[in-house]
Amino acid sequence: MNSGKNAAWPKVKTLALLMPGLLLAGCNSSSSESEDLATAVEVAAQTEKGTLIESFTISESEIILKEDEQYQLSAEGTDQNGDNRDITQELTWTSSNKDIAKVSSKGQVTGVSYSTEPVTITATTNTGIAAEVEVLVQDLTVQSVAIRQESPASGDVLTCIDASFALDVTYTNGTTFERTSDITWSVDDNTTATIDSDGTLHTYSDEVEETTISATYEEVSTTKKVSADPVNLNTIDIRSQDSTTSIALAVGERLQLQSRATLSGDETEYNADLNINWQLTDSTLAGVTNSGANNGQLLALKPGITAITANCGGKTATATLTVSGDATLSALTLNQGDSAIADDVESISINAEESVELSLDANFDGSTTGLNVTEFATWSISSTLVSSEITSAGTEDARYKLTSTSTTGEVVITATYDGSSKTIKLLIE
Amino acid sequence: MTNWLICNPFSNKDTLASVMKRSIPLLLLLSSAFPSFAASSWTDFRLGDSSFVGVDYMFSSVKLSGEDAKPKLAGLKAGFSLYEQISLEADYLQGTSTDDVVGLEFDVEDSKGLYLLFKSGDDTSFGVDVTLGYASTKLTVTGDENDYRSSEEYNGFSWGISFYDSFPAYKNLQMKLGYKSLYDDNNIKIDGFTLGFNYYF
Repeated sequence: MNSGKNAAWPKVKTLALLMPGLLLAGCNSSSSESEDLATAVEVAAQTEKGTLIESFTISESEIILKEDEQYQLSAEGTDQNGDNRDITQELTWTSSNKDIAKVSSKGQVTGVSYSTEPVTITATTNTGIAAEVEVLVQDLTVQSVAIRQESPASGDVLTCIDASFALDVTYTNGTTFERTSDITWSVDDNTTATIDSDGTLHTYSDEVEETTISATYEEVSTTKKVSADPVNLNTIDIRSQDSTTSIALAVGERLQLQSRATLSGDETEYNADLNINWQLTDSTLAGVTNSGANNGQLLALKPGITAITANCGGKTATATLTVSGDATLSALTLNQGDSAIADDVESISINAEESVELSLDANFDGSTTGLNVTEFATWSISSTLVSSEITSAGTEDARYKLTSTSTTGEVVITATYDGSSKTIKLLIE
Repeated sequence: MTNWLICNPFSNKDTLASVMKRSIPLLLLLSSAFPSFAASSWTDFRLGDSSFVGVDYMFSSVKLSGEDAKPKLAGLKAGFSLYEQISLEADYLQGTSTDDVVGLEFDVEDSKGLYLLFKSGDDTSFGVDVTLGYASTKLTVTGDENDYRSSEEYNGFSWGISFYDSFPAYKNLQMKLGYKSLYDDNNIKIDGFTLGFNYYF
């Protein structure tokens, strides 16, 4: 039985009682006091660990952007321990005029509207150390570009040691800025040297070799001839596991080989990883990647003992490779997992000017998973209707990429590994 | 000081997102704290007629800039029921110990709060309750090395959830174990676990 105090309590009154509390849930936005305290604690924590930044530099001192164009600034700082680190995300970034150019909390600058007035982007550490970048938002046309050798600072490139090149862009208003992005770098067809997308040149020829480097920025191109000379190269070595002279792997196992080079009269060890040309005495026992960022990636394929040799600038280093395990081939599979191409599938189709990627997996007796041997299989194509390349070389995701031309037709692709083959027709529609 | 009196949750999308982030889980908490009513029970809340006093001990945590200080607090509370399952509660906690982290001493000096308390059952049987309200928490941080000192009141939304049960021999005496968030913004969070006792008149 209800007491005299009972009363009806409509739903809306209950909600009215709750709503203020729920709405207040959003009212603890950052206060300046809590922000100041958080900064003080961050400084104290870093001071205790010796990681407090004492000085820093920003990647650029001035940049030109078009409207809506974005540019990512980066900053490197030196801490109390003398160690360097990327502090781009640790800094407070501000713009002197957000109506012309704005900057995100992660240092990405965006051109907002064209102006003759330069904007100052300031980056500040938690202790108030600051650095600035000048930003011009202007619709400028590129007048010319020039390749500049950064390292070595002058003279010939030292074979087997990375050389770096930069691109200076001159605009129609006479200003010149170094550009580090949106540049297409390439080398001539006759050289053995290669160049990365950041302008780093890798060389390994035994003799003096001339290379013509090309760079293109906003459809304006330039070239520069450089000479790589191995005369000062003293030694190279192989670095892997615990030994520099013997390597042991199981079938299917991968290992990234490294190498260091020294020059005559110089004790410095230079990173030669991307300059080495690797060779295996018996390439059926293992495969080694000889290009790209994974240069020197070794994959054990079959049990046995062989030798692997590093070659660069006329110098060599050799290690013994022992592969253990069993690699009795039971089947080859085109593509993997859910996209595997069944044995009874005779053809696959793509449209003209499109691409398709294939992989070849070797399945061994007693193993439930296949081994991606795409990179070390022999691929043949019956016509020139497609171009081909290996992508993601030196990884488990290596693929054989076929890109069709504008012509329709039929191409027969055969992949051969360890005496077995898989064939598929590619129909270009 | 966060000016909650003029705080407009709908002033910008970040604050609105903060409101939604906090209020939706709390709505779910509240709906689970309420008992399952019969069809007519939403219109049949009984006026309450009890009041209570209690003590609390809080194992607090002050989190900011990746550091976590753990000072302790103890305090008193009092309240009365508006309806059988809704009460008004006032809390006062005072710091009993400080904690040193990265060379700084953290002292939650005191915290005063006013809450609406929603209980799942009657006053003394086992149940869950949820508190929603407002707290003013004074945090003092001092450092020896650089004479650093910060003493500020952090005011704003506060909430808690706890399990309670009464002692078989003393039905009016209730023990509570819970969690309370005293203050939470983008830079600092002050919360912790609580252990306390309530006595109902």
